[in-house]
Amino acid sequence: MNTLRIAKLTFREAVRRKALYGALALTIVFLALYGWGIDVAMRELAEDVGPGTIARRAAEVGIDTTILAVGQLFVAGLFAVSNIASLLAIFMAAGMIAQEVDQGTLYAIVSKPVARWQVVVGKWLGGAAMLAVYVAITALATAAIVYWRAGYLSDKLAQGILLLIAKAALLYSVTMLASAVMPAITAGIVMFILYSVTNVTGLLEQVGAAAEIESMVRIGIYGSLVLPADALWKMAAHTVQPPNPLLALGIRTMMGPFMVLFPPSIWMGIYATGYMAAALGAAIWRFGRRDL
Amino acid sequence: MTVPEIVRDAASEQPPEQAAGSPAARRAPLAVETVGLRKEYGRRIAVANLSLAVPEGEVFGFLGPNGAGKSTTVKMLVGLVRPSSGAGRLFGKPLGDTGARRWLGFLPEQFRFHDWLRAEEFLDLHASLYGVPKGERPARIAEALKLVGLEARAHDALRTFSKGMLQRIGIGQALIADPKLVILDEPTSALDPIGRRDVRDLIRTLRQRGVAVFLNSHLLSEVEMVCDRVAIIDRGRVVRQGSMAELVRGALEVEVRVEGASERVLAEIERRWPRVTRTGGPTTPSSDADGRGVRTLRYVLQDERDVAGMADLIVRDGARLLALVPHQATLEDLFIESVETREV
Repeated sequence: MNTLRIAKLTFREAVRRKALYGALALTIVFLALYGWGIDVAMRELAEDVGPGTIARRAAEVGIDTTILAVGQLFVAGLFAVSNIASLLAIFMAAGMIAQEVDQGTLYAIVSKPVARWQVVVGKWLGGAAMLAVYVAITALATAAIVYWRAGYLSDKLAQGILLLIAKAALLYSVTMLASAVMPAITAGIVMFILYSVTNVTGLLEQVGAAAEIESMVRIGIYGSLVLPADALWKMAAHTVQPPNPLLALGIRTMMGPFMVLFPPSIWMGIYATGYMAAALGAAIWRFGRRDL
Repeated sequence: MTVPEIVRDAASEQPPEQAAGSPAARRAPLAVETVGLRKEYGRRIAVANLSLAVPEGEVFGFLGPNGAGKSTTVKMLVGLVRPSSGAGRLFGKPLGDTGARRWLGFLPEQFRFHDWLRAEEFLDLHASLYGVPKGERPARIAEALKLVGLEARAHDALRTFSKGMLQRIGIGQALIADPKLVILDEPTSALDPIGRRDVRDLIRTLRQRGVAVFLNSHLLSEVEMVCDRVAIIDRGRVVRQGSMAELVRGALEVEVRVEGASERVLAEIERRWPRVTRTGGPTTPSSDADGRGVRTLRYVLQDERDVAGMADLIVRDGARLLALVPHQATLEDLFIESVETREV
């Protein structure tokens, strides 16, 4: 029960402190621009394509490549909301323990009949719930815009959204661990760098896979082992993106910077789940022993 | 009882029941008990071998200069800091046991609360953390707000509160679940004189209800007014522990001003009562500077009857008694003396 009370407190704090509203307001601005962009792109695509292009050749054999552009735009939109959610997760969790210890707000909580692990798990649940709400709302809005203007709707949207929530929750857990061992600002900076770097190694993995360069793929896998956030993103994107019609023509190529040609294996998904649990466990252990 | 007898140095190896101090401590069940509690931060020793006992229903003053280890001790008692060694119990349960904290109210010294909460929400949260059932909470909240004089601010966010009001609401959360022990760490530091008097009255009310109060305060006069027993700590050790009566009222000092007293009578007085020779006091230890044989001396007496006995001796000697002024030693005298002794 105490765990849920702390969770509720954390959730309400995020709402009252307007962290959630701020992120949602900016996301609405983004989605408005996004919808306009999709609209323009769809009108351009409707016009005839030039002779000799892949699109023309595909059309000659009865394949509509418009879906590639639509998929590209859809995944790009999800990429944006997932990134905002990730930064929200990192900066919310960075102060979750460190800042509350510094400010002394935990003194009156921890001296109550509340176990230390309940404080950590409660804060995790509250933050994860807030991130889930944010991701669900914004990803659904993105999907709705794409369906409305371009007619594409993934039948695995729910699964994809769950994976996006898992990515934010993973970052939230790891940052909470960082917050239990280092000052808030350090935790935020370290996690932001780690997140950015592993996003780049993830991109290298995609390029490497398309170009069949073994060492680039390996760098990407190492990056995912350090922080499997990008791996979860790829799994999410691959789940909701449209199937590549060019594969029918035997063309193996990257489908732009956002769509994912080679999703991580299920083992990476299992690894990410274990990673998140281990980070939360370590945060509980560290906070349980810490002098406040 | 003479002063040296009540000096209890926790460093000496005493069995716990002796470290407990007054007879009352041995009778009543203990709200707080520590034996050889110690906390080190790296090489710095914050608390060294601290043994305390606070029976249920007692108002206990915990005194010491800055950095003596008071706050660290309190933090160990409420489970914020883990002791390096030694043991402690709240209501017979080991420190860190969350069950015992059901009966503990705590006002931290350096506190900050979730200031986006409204006063009533804040109290509701803390009542819920104690496990107070939802149905009982509104009545408790109303009572707590009344107790600390904040009924009119129930719907206001804590961020609009002054420092003194935050201290009051902090006391409110400490009392919300009818605790049996209340640990107050500098509860009046942000309060004005009226607020301080209110807190003193509150502590007296708690004592009447049988609630033990562990009061950590710099304000010696405040401690003197409300506490049954005090411990003075310095550098992480208890240097004195005893009831207020033993510590303060037990030792009566008199200042004597005599003219033409014989050496014989002075020797007789000195044989019967120890002379106070501490420096820095308001009197010069002994003086015959004006050449008229006038001396000002200070002695420690057992009780008030000794004042008459001393006057009698002087008058029978044929000396002129110019002044005989009893001085009640204050907690401040005792505090400064205890802490300075350790400084040497």
